[in-house]
Amino acid sequence: MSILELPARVAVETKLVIEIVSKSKKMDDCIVVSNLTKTVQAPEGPLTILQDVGFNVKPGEALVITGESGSGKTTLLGLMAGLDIATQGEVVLLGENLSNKNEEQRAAIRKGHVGFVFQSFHLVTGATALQNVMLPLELSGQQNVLLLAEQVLSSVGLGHRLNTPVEHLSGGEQQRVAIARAYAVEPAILFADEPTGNLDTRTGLQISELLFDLRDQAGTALILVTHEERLTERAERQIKMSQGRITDNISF
Amino acid sequence: MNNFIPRIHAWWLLWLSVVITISIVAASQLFTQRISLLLDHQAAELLAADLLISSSDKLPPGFQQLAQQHGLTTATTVSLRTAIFIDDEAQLIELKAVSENYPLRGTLERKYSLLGESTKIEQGPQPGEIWIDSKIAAQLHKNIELGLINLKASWIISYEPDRGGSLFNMAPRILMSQQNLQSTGLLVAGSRAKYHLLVAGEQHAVDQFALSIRPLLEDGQRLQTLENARPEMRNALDKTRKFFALSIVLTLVIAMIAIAITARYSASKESIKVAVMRTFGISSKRLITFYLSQLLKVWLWAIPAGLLLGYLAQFPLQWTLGLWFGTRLPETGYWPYVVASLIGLISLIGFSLPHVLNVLETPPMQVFRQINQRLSRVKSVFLLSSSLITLFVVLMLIVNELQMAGLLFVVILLFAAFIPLVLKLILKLLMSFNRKQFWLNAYVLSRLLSGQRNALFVMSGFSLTLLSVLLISQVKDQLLQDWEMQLPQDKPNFFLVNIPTAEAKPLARFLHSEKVSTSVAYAMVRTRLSAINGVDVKSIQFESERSNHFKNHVFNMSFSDEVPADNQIIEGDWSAGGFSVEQGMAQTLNIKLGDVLQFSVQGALFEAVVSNIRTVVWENFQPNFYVLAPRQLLESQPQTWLMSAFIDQHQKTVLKPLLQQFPTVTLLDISELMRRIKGIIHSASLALEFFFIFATLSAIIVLLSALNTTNRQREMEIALLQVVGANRRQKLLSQLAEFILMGILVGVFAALFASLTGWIVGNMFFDLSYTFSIGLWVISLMSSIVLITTMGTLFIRRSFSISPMRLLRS
Ligand SMILES: Nc1ncnc2c1ncn2[C@@H]1O[C@H](COP(=O)(O)OP(=O)(O)OP(=O)(O)O)[C@@H](O)[C@H]1O
Ligand SMILES: [Mg+2]
Repeated sequence: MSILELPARVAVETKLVIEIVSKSKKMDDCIVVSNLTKTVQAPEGPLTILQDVGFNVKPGEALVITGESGSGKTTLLGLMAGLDIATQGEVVLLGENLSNKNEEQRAAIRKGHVGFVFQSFHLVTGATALQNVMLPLELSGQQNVLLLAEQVLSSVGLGHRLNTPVEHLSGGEQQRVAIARAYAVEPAILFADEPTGNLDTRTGLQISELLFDLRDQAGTALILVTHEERLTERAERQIKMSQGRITDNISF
Repeated sequence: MNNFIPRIHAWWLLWLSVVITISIVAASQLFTQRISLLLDHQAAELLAADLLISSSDKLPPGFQQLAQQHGLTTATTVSLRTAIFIDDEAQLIELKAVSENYPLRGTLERKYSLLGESTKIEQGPQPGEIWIDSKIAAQLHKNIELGLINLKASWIISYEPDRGGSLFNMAPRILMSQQNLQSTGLLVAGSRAKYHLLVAGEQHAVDQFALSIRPLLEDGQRLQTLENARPEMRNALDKTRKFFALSIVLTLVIAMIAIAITARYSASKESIKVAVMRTFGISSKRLITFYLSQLLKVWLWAIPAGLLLGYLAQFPLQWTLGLWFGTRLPETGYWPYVVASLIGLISLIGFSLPHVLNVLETPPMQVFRQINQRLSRVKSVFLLSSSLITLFVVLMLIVNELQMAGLLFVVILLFAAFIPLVLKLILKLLMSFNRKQFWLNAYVLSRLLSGQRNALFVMSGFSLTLLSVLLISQVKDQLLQDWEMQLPQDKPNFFLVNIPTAEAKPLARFLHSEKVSTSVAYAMVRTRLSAINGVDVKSIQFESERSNHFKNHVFNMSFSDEVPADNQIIEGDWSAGGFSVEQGMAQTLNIKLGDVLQFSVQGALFEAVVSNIRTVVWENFQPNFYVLAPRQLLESQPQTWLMSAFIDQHQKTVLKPLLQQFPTVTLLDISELMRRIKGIIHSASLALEFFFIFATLSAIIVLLSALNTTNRQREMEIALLQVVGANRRQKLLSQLAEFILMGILVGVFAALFASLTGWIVGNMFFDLSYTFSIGLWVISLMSSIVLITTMGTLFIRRSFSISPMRLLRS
């Protein structure tokens, strides 16, 4: 046990997690989005950047969101994950309605069930690849963290670079660490916003392959925002966006 | 949009740190310069002049003319021992006849009755009147026969600046005008008069005069400096002066750290802007010009604020000090303002420009991506050397002395290079203990080791800052404690001397019955040192002025069964029954344990072995002796007794019956002297409080600028922790733990080096015995932890509510 950490973990939190797990198993859809609208205050006045959006995501489903720049993809992703709150409409994530929850409650809902992969990696610099993957495991109070993290890193092909500080890794390798970190807690849903945006085409392809491979293995639902139409190949569904609205909702 | 806020912050902080630097330099320069001038004046008072030539014969009039040619003012005094008759009994007195200008430095104080109020006066007695010592106060307002003439004793002398010599060694003083001296007929061949020429004026002219007069001096003519002035006063002045020099340098070091850190940070903030302009194809030359003009603007805006602040800061001090010293602080001129502004500019440019040049060399893409900009060897050497040159130039400007500046420079460098290195090692070592687990220890350690955090730099800077603050307060405490200890609550304010052996006990009983607290009574035998180990002292050649003083000195020797209060045996054995010699005297005369000393008392000789060496606290105003002899050696010698006493204001009624019952006893009032020394101590402590405030302010700026630049990074980290599943408590913990760890490391380092340097400085410069204090460690740790943690948490508290959407949009 770390000397700096306060001893008792909050029991309520654990209880909440158990409840969510049991609920989400019963649910058909892991995300339900209905009539979602987001209005922000811009210098010119109120600006609606997302208007009346609605769809469902089934467990294990791979959903690709595409659209031109500024069409509201990132905004939608943030709302779905409960990182932001909607002006109107609601998001039900893993059976919990996010609209009447505060930041802390939304975080508790995500905890252990939702993973993120970002365009600009957002790794903990100054720490090794292994430590980056250990972090979410330790935060959720898991056992055998070291072993688990090693396994996950091996599964993304970084078994030989466990103790390398992340800033010494290449861009592709860094994104692999980020993916391993997201998958380590075996989430029900993985959100990825342009995970290949900072990478060259070849590396980007490898990364998206990896994401879909892992989805296949773990049965995680994958919400992938991208510019690249090519990535829709392995997805079950594609949502096309333009000017804050869904223009297409295609199932493959 | 968000990028704008930290940039404005950075410039503001830079401006603020330049303001503080300028005001620290201005205020401390103004203040220390004034204090220094004042201390010079105080010191000069001890001679009543800046320089003194004494002679046993009449001084040639050429000397006085030479001084006047140098633009100096002069005065002369003649002193001689003679006897007056009081109630048909002869009383030995020290007569001093003074010229019109006397005293050139300092003021005389006199009172109209023994218990009356003292008033200051710039001039000595007028022709026809004399002023007398309180020892012969009974003669006040009577005519006294001085040789051939009668003069009226119109005042009691309560303070004579250049009285000199031992306090209780002297026959009562009578002060008169030189115009009456000739007519007394006392000045004849063989009257063993001492002639003095007093000289005062501009420091430079005085130095010039001293140079040209030295070769003209003949045997028996001596140039006198502070050496011969009152030892207790001199000690206090010296310590104060040294202490000021140290404090100002330390405060400045802190200011420099603040400016270096903020400059570094604002430059790193600016780098993005520069990179953007680069992509538009703007030339380096234009960018440098642009950046320099920005810096100049900061400087120009900082000058009025800094100078004003520095100027205002000295007022409360001046006011209080002015009261204490009873004089206005001397004026200083414009130099402090110039130096302060210059130092502001030099440190601003010197610490900022290298970073900007570095940014210009870096490809814009690297700047945007915030890739850890690894410096080439050449560049880092350039960066380092420019900061070093800046530091050195500033030190030179402040210290004004190559050797001292060099020494300080090396010391600061050692610290600056050493602390980050050791910190890094410690963090890495701690990290290696945490291989199995990342959260929370290793996570926090990795934050501190992360290049972007600059934590090593910040912690080193903060350690140095805290170290300086601790050092100032610590040496100050020690210094004051030292003095306070020597001035106990019921410090004696009177000496009772000339007590006949038979009256020693009754007098003590009398005082006791009046509830007056007194020291032990000591016998006093007037002796001269005649031989060391059988060699006549007159034939021994000594190096120093001081040893000659001992050679010719009349020692008041005493005996005591116990080690006197405040004395400490540092060598040998008290009970061995030989001479006990004061350490300083032993050193000057090269006397060691086992040496045989021979003294003469009215022609009769006696000798004994030196059995121990003793330290004496001269400033404690107790009877102190250079040499204590075994009781059996002295008991039979002609002797009088002395003791010190504390006679409170309301107890002063005891003085009259005392003088009636014990008419031969003379009373010596030393409260005026004590008041002056206390004034110096108080002003010193007050001045230090002031430095303390400035130092702490700079420390906070250092911390703020460090927090400011890591703020965005912290926000991102907190957001990231949140998306990987940390709850509120864990997020808070991550930051708290970091601040606490920083606080601990900073506190430990500061305390460690403060004790170390405190010990060295105390021993080398202040003659203080250093005592290890747990308190220092507690204060250092507590203050750094509390300061860093509260400031840090306050500063980043908004970051906790930053939406993790940031991560998606960055
Ligand atoms: N807080 C805000 N205030 C004002 N406008 C905003 C805010 N957040 C987003 N927007 C605007 O909303 C629109 C949608 O933004 P969003 O980031 O969702 O687009 P995107 O589809 O992810 O674009 P890209 O492909 O470039 O990442 C943009 O025009 C953006 O400028
Ligand atoms: Mg986007």
